[in-house]
Amino acid sequence: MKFNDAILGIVFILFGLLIIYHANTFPEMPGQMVGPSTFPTLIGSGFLLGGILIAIQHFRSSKKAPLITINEGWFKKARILSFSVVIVGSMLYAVWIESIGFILGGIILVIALLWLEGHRKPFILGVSAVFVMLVYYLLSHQLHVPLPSGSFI
Amino acid sequence: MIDNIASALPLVFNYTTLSVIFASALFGLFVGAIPGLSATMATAILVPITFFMDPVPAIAAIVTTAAMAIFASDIPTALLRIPGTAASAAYVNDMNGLTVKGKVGHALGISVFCAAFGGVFGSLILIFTAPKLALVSLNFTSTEYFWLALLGLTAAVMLGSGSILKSLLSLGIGLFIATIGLDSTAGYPRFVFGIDAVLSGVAFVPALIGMFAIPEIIRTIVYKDSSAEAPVHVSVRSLFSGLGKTLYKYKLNIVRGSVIGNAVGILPGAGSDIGSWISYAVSKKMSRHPEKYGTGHDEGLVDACSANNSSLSGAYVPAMVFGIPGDSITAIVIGVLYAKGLNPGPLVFITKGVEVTAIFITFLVANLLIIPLGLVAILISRRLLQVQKSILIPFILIFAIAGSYAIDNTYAGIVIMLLLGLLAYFMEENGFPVAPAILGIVMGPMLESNLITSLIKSDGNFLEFFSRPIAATLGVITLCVWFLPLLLGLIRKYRNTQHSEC
Repeated sequence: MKFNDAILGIVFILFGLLIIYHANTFPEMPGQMVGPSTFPTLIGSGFLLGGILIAIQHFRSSKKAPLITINEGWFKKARILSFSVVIVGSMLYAVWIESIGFILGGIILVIALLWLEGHRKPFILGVSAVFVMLVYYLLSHQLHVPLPSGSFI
Repeated sequence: MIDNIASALPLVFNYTTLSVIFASALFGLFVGAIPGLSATMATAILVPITFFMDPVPAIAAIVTTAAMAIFASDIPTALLRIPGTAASAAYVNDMNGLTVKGKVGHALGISVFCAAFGGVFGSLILIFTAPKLALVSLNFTSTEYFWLALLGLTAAVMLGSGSILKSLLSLGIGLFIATIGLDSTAGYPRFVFGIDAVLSGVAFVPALIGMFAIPEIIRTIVYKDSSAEAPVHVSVRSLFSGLGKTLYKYKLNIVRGSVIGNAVGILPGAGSDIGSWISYAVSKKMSRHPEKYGTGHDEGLVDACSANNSSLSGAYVPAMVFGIPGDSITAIVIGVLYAKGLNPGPLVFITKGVEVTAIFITFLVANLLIIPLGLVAILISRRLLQVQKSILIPFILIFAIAGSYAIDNTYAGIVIMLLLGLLAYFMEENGFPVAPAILGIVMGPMLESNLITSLIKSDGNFLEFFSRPIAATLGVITLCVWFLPLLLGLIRKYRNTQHSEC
């Protein structure tokens, strides 16, 4: 999803202004010229300046890119579904990780994604489930990485 | 030094460390050989595994994985004409050109041996220069660190891929992310908006994992750029035939590539991909047959294959001595070092001398292992390249989730990983390179606290930033890098107008 430079410029200008505005609400350090707001204000000014420059570059160049260019993959339902599983599925997994546990949530996520990507042979799905368990065992029992086991197991 | 080596050897040559090195080598070879999966991503998803290991095997795992992945990326470069990682992009035409000429074994043979030589060369430079540089830097104050951090970020922006303006904005995004949370001087919560999870800052490891893994996951499942070309078979004999002659003929190129790669690696912010581009360009310029470059010629390969592995070790010099990452892989390493209590900086060479020496020894072991394991990987490459990326994606996601969760046992890490991953995807889509943002996140707190401390000490007088000799030198170099190109451009423009008026 590619936006043209005019849009990007405006986004940076607005973001820069927001940062500067918000940073000005930070308290100052008594007796000092600098404080918590100094660095964010510098960054905000950088965004403002950079945004203006990007936008100018766009308006100066003779070749104008379309406002937004979208890869054809984003128009295919199946791929959008896989993408949603990656983002939304992982978010849900994250929120409920304590109760469903790493293994169960992981197996569901992996099998769902493999299925959507067209790897539907029972052998592949079975091996993947075992692999998730193996990862859990290796990480939590051998390498002492604290992963939740969940309330079901 | 000798004492340190004697005590360090058992830390490396024990069952645990050696098996970790071996396993990471296989992992690195595998990930490097799959086009589109980068060495940095391999390192990022390795982080959770190294969390609870002892420091030496943990860093050894990262060093080995990166070295193997950078070498292995030459395999798809030769066989499929797709660079496995960005580090092989410079010579993709030569590498594949040799394959087309039926000399694939020759190309990969060069790749293995030059990678190992470059890697060992870079490791030796690291072993001998880092402790000496640490002694010098013991006297550094906040001013020197400020300039050093700024110089590093400048180098990353100037040398990186893409437009300088977009690299700068990407750096700004990283620096902004680094300001979220309690500020280091006054303890004021900035940009927190009531979210407790980011009060102590945006967790660094989930951010890194997300920014490297998620964009690749999205591109794989949405774009599906497939490369279903059957790779050719490579025989053992073809790997070695004529190899000794070529390496002897280009012995100076091997050394030159290693030196350039290492120097680029030491420069903060510039990594192995840039090292290989620059050494390839230098090789072409100095060659007697520049016209053959890009058509399947082996001379540039020798330079660039040595350079990219050499720069990997070079990047550890600023990382260990100053805590300033030499490339995005060492940015991750710095996070791991902090987690292990091996806080990078000059003092670590004194207080943890044995561990540091042991880590350096693992560099040598890892780079020497490239030869036997690399040869095996080449021989089974046909099988390796048949693995579909889409089947690996779910597992990369699982590792990314495990790593982001394990950093502080809250789901907030996973959410940060996903959100910053989406941000990185949008950035890359729109031509903003992610590496400067990563460096911004890592170096933001250091840059800010040194700037604010120096400003408070100097009472707002900016000239104080130049009052100490090393600080002044670093400051002048940084300003030169900023303004010299601009000035030269203006002079050239002025001259041109003068000419045209005449």
